[in-house]
Amino acid sequence: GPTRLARLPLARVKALVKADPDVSLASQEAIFVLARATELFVETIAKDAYVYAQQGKRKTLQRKDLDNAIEAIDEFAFLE
Amino acid sequence: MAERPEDLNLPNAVITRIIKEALPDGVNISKEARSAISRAASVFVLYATSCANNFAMKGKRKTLNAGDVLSAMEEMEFQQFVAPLKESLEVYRREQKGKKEARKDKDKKADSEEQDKSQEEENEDDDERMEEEEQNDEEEVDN
Repeated sequence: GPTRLARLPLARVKALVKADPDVSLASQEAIFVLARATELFVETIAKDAYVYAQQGKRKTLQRKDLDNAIEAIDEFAFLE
Repeated sequence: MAERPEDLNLPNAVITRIIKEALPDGVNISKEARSAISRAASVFVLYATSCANNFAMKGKRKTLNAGDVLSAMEEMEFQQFVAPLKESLEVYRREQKGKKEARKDKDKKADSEEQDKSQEEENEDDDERMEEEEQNDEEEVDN
């Protein structure tokens, strides 16, 4: 549910945040919210890609399902 | 040797678990699809960070905070994330507060057991604890 704590390790998320040269400091809360947002993102993109697997009558999510979802959905444009 | 941002991976096991829990039972995911989602997740963090940092800079702040990340989600058109993120943040804050209270209570108990503790010593302990809390609250990114 939404109140479940982030399972992505905060240290790894922090490492990604550190990769941005424009960022100097980030609060622990910011790292937490980023981690949790990333989990939600993974859930969302998996579900959106699965629609294409279903159309292809497959029970295995494949790379092309991802590609289709990314191309079709505006919010995923940053991934192109 | 500096790592390229795209090489910073999130743990495969966690990514796979999140995917499996999001999909119906009996659905599998190919290794390539899992890999692609993992990479997309890393890019998501990088993009969200950049976006959030713009809000921090607009607010003339040097520290990226939770509010900046929430603003970034709206900007990135993931408004549907905001409500669940706020809920999670509430839980997180309660837990962090609980941890601090537990630490204070533990120290208080130790104080009451040591009757000879001088005033100077107590102040030093308070300063130490404040320093520790500061370190906990801000993850210095050191750029």
